[in-house]
Amino acid sequence: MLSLDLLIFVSLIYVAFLFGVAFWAERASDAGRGGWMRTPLIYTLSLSIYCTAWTFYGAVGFAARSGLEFLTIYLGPTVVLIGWWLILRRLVRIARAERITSIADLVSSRFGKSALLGGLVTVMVVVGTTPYIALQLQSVTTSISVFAKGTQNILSSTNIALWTAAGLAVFTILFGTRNLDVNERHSGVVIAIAVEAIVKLLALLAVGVFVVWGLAGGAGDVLARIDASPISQWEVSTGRWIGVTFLSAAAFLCLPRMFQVMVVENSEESHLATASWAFPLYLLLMSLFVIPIAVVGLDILPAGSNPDLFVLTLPLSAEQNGLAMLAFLGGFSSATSMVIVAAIALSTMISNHIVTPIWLRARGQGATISGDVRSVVLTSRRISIIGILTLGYLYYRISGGGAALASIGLISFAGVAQILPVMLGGIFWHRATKIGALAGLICGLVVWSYTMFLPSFGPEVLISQEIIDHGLWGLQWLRPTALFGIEGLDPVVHAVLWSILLNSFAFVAGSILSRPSPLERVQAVQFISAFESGSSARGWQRGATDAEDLLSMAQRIIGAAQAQNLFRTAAQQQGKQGYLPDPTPQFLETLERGLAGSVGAATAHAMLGQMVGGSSVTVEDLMAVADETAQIMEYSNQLEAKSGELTTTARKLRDANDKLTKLSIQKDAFLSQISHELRTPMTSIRAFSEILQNPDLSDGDRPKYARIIEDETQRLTRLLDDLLDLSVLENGQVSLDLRQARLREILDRAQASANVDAQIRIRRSAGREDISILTDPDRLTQVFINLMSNAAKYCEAQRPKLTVIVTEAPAAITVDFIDNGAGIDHANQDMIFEKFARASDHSKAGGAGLGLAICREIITNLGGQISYLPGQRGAAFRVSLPRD
Amino acid sequence: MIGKSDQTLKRVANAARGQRVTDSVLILPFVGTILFLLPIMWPRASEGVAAEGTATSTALIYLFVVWAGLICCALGLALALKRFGVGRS
Repeated sequence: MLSLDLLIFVSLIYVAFLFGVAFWAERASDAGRGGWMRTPLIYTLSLSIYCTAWTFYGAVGFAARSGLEFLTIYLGPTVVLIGWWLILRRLVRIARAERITSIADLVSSRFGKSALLGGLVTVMVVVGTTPYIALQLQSVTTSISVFAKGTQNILSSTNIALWTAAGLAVFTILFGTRNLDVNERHSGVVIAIAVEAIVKLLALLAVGVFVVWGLAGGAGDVLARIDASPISQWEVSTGRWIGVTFLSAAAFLCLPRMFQVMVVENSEESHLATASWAFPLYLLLMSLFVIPIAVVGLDILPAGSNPDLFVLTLPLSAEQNGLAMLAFLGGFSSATSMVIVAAIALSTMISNHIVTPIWLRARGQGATISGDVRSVVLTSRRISIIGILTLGYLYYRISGGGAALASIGLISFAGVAQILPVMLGGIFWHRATKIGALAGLICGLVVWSYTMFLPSFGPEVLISQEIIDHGLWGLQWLRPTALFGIEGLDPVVHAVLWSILLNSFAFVAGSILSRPSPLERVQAVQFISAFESGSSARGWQRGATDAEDLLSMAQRIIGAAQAQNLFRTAAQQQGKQGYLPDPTPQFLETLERGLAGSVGAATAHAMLGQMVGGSSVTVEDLMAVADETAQIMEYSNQLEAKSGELTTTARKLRDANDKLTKLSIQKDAFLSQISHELRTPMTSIRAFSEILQNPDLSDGDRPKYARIIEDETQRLTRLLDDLLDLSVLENGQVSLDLRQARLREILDRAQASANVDAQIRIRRSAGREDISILTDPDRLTQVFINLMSNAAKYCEAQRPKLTVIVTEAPAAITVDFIDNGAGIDHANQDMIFEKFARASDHSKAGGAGLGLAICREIITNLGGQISYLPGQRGAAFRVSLPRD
Repeated sequence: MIGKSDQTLKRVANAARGQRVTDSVLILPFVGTILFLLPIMWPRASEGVAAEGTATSTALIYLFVVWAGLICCALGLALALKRFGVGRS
């Protein structure tokens, strides 16, 4: 039997060797001789951290219990890698372009650099990974206990676990947090992991070869033994075969440690092409001898031996101490490499998505004032690493390292697989939103906890037997092992099916029902069109910020040398000397991505936002711009309205001006008319006055001429009277003598005064005229006289006849004067009421042409109207009078 | 002149082959998935449908042969991609 002391001694030497390799690799990388470390081979080997102690030891146990089903754990990742062109290539491209540092960063960055999402994903993976770390600690201690069997040693199993955890913490802190790299790559760790990958592969192959050709009689014999073994029959459940293959594929993409080595540490896309065949080959070799070892172990070793330890106990039983030692180192390598990378990945997430945001918020303007962000980040990472390992250790102690831990592998896988829908949605679906992502993640987390995680501790630990048997709140369809009443499914398949289905549903529904913020839209385009162009539309504007401030901030985050290097390169690209480039949008973007590599996208964005003074286009800015635009439009509308008003006013003024011009013309016409009207009688008065002065005039002529003078004077007086009358009426200065009067009496009086019965026959209908109206009888009489005289004057019929018709309507009384003459031309109908207007020649008129104008003024003053009534086969005037 | 058109022809042919390779790269994971999932339809002794179930050794050989075949295809495609200069960043 191998002595325990020797085993521990060899392990320590191995650990020292790993330290040496990591140290040397870091030195070489710093000195610029690290080119060979960035080869596809090293990349492929680093992926081997997928194979943890759980697979190294556990696969054989799994196979011994369930036959070929163990292969599903390897088939999922094989499919993912063979399909690298579809998903992995895209992830790597996005991660490089956006300086993604972890899976939490990817989700956070995609959904608008949300600190909340980053924090949530971080919590999810910490919850999912801690038990897994405990599992690694357990495997180390169990494997050591195999050697310790029968020997007395001061080292208890808990002590071993503690020392292992402490050693791993030291290694991880030394090589995982030595500096803050903008790309978050760790040469030393990667090389150490590559070495461990080779060790574990060689160990398993060596054990396998020994078992097949040493213990059994070659390949043929092994196949025969398989047929004779308890697992000779193909009895894999359909659900589990599909479910676990899917689960391992999902976990392979989402496990934080896998994301770290596969995406973050990837230095060149072409490495993926190599890994696409090389890593499946590695997995194939790792699983090639699993079934033979299990079968031979079941065959040779005494019944009741733990199949999980066949890899160790088979060589030991054959007294192959060297081989057993190698196998132990293989298992040890598997455990340690996983813990180291997981701790680095988790600590990065914790510091970037939980500690730094909280620290920045607690300090308010922290990033811009003082304090060394860099040291805060590094310290928080170191503390996180210690915390994560402590958690793992405590989990191991509390769970007692029992068989319960064995099932933790798949539970952990299912936990991190909850990120898959959001991740794939984020890189393929434009419309995915932050709200949807939050809903999906929370839903998946809750369902996974309820159906898988909480019951895994056994009844009455975190979830009562009552709930397991009868469902939450006594609802049968809420039983954690039979959601919605679907029973008979394998517990793992059941939990994975429901958690992923509900998760995806919540994600899609949440995304469809919510609206993405502008930043989310921009990031969505960046992520989904990662292959289209390298250009960015994130929109840092040239801010008022000083390059010197930016440099001092960057130095505190990514370190003096790296920051100066970044700034000098940028300055050179701008064609400037020295370290201070212009803070152009391009430079700010580069800087943000550089900072994102150290503190995460969300934090970097927030810090730069503080520095640049919010010159990044925020939603608020957009709103403000929209407000301004709205104001301008409002103003423009007002201007337009005013301009409309002005146009209207101008039109009114033009109308008024036209009217004034017309009035002026009318006035001129009136003046010339009146001069003419006054001049005609004056001329004859003067002429006859001169004749009268002639002494030769006969006595008979003298009175004749004097009468002519008198007639002309009367005519002149009448004209002046009419003018005066019209002026009074037009100015509204007339005083009306309103009283009740009978219409018939007024007409009688008018007919008598007009005294035209000789020239024209007037027909009236006496019965209708017996109406009493409120009016000025004298004025109305004047109107009627005028109308009757006009008819007598102008009617040229053989037997002139004037018909007066009175009509009584509810609102008015109309009096029509219709003669049987020729009537008035249509063209003249409009102007007969104007002053001095005459339809026919002057001579007949004997008046000044003011009659109808005066009539119109009188009737208007009486509240009625007078108009010419066309179509009566003669001249017809209608006088309408209001009724009381 | 002939040399020039020959070069153009060669470039076109290369692009066409590159397209064929990338199409194959895209299809390969789906082929792999189908082949890996085929065994779920094999008869099982416990179901009593077939007189005899499928032996683990047979399934083992099938799965490893498929696996190795996929690895060879992936290797061939990776080399082809490199040759046609597709997918280089």
